[in-house]
Amino acid sequence: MKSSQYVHFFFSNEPLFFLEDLMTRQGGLLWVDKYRPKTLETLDIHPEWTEKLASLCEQGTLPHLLFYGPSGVGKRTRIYALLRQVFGIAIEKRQVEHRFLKVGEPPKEVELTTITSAHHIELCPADVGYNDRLVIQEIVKEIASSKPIELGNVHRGYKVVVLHDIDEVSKQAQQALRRTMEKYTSCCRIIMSAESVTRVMEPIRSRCLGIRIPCPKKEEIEQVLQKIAKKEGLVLPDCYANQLVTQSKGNLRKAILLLQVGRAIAYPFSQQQQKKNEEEEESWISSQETGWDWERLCYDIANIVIREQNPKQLCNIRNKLYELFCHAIPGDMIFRKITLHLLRMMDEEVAPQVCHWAAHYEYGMKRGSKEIFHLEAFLAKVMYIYYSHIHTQYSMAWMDD
Amino acid sequence: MKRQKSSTFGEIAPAKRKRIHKRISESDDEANWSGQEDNVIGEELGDVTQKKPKQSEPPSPKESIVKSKKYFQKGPWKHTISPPNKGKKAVPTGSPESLQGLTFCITGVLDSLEREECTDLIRSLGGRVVSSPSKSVNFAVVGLEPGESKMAKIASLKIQVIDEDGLFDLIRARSTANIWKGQVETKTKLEETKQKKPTIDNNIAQSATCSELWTYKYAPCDLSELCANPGAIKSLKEWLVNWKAASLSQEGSKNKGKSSPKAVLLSGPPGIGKTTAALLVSKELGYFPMEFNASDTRNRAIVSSTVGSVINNQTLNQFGKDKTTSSVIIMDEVDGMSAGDRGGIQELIQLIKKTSVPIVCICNDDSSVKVRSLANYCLKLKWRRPLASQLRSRLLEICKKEGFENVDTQTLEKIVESCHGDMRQILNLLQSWRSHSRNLTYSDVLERMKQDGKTYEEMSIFELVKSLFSPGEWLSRRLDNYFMDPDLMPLMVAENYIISREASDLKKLVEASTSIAEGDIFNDLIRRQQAWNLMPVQALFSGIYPGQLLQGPFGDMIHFPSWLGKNSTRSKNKRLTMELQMRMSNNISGSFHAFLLEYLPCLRSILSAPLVNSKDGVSDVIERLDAYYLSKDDWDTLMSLSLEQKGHTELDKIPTATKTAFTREYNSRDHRVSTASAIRVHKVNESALVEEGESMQEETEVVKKEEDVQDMTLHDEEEIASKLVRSKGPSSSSKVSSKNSKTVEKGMRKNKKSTGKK
Repeated sequence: MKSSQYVHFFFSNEPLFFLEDLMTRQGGLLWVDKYRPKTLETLDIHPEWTEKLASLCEQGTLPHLLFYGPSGVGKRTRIYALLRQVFGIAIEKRQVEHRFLKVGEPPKEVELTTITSAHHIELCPADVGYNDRLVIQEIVKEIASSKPIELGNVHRGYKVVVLHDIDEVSKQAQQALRRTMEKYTSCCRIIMSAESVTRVMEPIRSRCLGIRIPCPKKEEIEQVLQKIAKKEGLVLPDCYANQLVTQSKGNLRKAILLLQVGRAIAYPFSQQQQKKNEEEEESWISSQETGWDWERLCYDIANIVIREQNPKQLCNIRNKLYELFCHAIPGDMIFRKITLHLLRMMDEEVAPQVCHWAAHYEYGMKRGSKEIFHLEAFLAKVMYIYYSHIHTQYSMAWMDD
Repeated sequence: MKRQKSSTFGEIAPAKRKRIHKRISESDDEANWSGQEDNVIGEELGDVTQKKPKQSEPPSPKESIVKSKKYFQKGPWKHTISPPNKGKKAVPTGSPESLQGLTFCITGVLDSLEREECTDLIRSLGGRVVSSPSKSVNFAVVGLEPGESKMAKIASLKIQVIDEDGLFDLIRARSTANIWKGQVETKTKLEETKQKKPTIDNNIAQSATCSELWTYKYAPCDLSELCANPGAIKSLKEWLVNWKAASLSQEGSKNKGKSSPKAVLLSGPPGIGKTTAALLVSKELGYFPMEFNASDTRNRAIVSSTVGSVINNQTLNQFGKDKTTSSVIIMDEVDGMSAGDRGGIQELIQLIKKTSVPIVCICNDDSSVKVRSLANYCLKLKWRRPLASQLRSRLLEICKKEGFENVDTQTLEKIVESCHGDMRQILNLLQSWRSHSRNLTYSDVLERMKQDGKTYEEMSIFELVKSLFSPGEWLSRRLDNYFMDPDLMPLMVAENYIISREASDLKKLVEASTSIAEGDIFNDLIRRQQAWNLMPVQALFSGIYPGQLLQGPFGDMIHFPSWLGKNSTRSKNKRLTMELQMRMSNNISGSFHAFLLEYLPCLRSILSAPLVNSKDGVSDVIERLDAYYLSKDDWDTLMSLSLEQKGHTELDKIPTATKTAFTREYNSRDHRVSTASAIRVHKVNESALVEEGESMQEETEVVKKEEDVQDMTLHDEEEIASKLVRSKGPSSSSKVSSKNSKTVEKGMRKNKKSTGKK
């Protein structure tokens, strides 16, 4: 890759006219994007971290950072807010590029989407798949090894490389990152985001300041939802907000998206849903009317297992699994959804077995490559467990391996 | 309830299946678990306890699910109808010649024997089997659902009709009758011993030359001895005869254009006499053959120095007595010119252009990439596999010379058939058998074929799967069958284990599916760490063990693995999703999975809900699309990615009138298009150009436009800042993107085709 491609980003002054453009576009955005906090001051949740981040910026120089925590808690939002604090408004001017690059020897073509501004570049090496090592070795190193061009008032002496989903990246690629991180500290900072820190290797963790963003509290999510509803001029009944909070399971993004979907389908938020909530919260969550379409398909599968246990139904399940598979829904997510739903509907006595085998087959899936085989084997197993459970009510023999 | 779908069998099959299964399932009709899907769990509890004792009974046809997709319409259907009482009857062991002189014709599905087995049985007892009834046929063996035309013919010829039991009775009767014919037998034996005497002498003579390979011993030394491909040989001969005149006339009048090429390319499968023919033809016409084959290095330099020096030469012989002799170059195994012979083919082509001696090139496959360029400069002649009838007399002759006893034509035909007409292999086989014994009866051949592992070459992938699941098969044989296609077999087994009748035993089903899953782990180890020594382990887990557990007949037709097709759909959808994410990535936040699992379903409902009830929502939706730089095409993709069931998708809920209004409204407005997409479109288009090669003009123009846009963004800072290309309505880029999506679809279809072929 030629570095000349990059040069032009670092020359621009700080034109403000694009902000105008930003404002005009705001109207059509989803609420989750429209009301995303842009600065550290406006962050709603986890104030303790907000303070620490702000003080980090005041020091004038940043360490390498590793943000980790579950999905939808605001890792990326914090990264942007932090960059905004450090580099000012210029960071808002971002360009998306999709490139075809030749890397490695012999050269292989890889596709990569990057988001760039004058001060930072953002990429997700895991997107490249098998060749992620080459991307880290060549591209990240090349960006990191050159000094940023001085840009007057906001010059900080370094630029920032943001690497997303670093836990999805292969071991080799992580190895390749190790040295780069140390060697070019004079002109480059690396900020990473990950869902699970255990999949990030020790040497990388030790080179970064780890920042764990936990799930927001229920009240915090509810506050955010009420705030958005107020801005949009909606009446959001407490019980409805409560449902969203329970359903989102600490995922703020999901909560806001669900709120908007609920608004689009029916407003004012219906009375019926409130009633259901009063009756029994659990059943409402598992009912088939809510959740995303892929979640509902997972519930369907679990329901079939409970209802009937025979090869014909396993065939039926296979077709449904293939539907999920075709839409690239990740296997571990399917495992989780189905297992949780099964646990909700099955007797307590079989629950430990189901959990055990879910873990067993999911581990197998991670080691293998064809997800569907493992899912099918798991569901066949559950069928058998459940079948023998309801037929031999008294003897609770554990399955032998 | 899936009955309707079961008509996805071949054209004839459904009726057949139904009738056959009716017979089986009449007795256990109550056992149909008619599969009411909407059972409440409470009801089900009661039901299941009732069903339990019947579980071991074979599931009725209603049970079996038929996938709506079928991969091979004509392929496997006939194998799926197995004889109803397969393996349940005792097959009589008649005396070897009990059916001597009788001719049979088989039609329909027999009661306990597969068609093949029955044929083998009759042949091994000396009978003859023909495929269609004629006057010479003595008996017609008729099973279930015989062919109509055959039956009509049988009736008109008044052939005696028997069923399988009749055949068995016949065999038994005639074998006992043979004992009575004792006297006759002794007579024939006497005659045989008379014949034997000279052959013994023969034997002694041959034992001296035993070390010689038969392939050389019986190599044809005259054109008349070549059994097959008379047409091709004739045209080769003509070409060589005309060569001198043709090359002279070509030199004389270069402007005349096309005349017969200066080289010839013989192609065909191995062992059928291409090289031999080339050598013999050149010999007969008085040429001196010079052979270059894969044992010589044939790169550019060497070809030009060795062959190149020959093409302008005259042979020494020419100065001797026979002035007419000149050489001919035979380039054998040209498709074997590989990495080490870089540039060899190009050099050869150059030589062909200026040669003054005829060049004969020989290869196995004239459509392979390596040979294709060469083929343009050659006269192409195809060698076909010889038919059994063509080889028969020659083989008979050889067998007699070598002292085989009791050789009959049927036996030889079977050998030819299972060797696919490879004469060289047949001779090698015969020689190895000859060292054991002098007998060569039909049953001997079958037995030996099994030992030598020749039979399963004839099996299709569907039969291979069946053999994995067939009871009483040897482990080693199953392993061999598995390794006929170790890539496809795990998929085939995983696809079909579930329709085995034994699968109704849940415990076995669980064992099998778990084993398949474990096999997948090994597969990953093998591929990722190159641990090829684990192949047999994988075979055990993903093929042999499930087959062993669930051995027995299948309750349904065998399917081609759907994983292949689904996987390519998956990668297509993944790509589309990534593209959407890329367009939107300036405004959204979250990883690919977050986008896929949360944004997409949300966007689907938000972008469709306003359109469901009224047309007022149109501008709202367009505003949202614009905010995220999405086009109408993107909206379509978004909706197509829905996971809802067919008929209940978001798209189905929108009235058609609203849809058209939406399209009209969208086209009438100005839209923002992300440059990111433009760059991408440009890139993909390049490959599309190469692929299609048509409408070049038009598309390059569009591409140029895109390039202009890029240049602009490079130079004009304002453009960089806004990052937007304003384009109107169905503008150039949107056109291109729709074209682009079309090419993607085309690619998909191609993918499917290739997997289908597999």
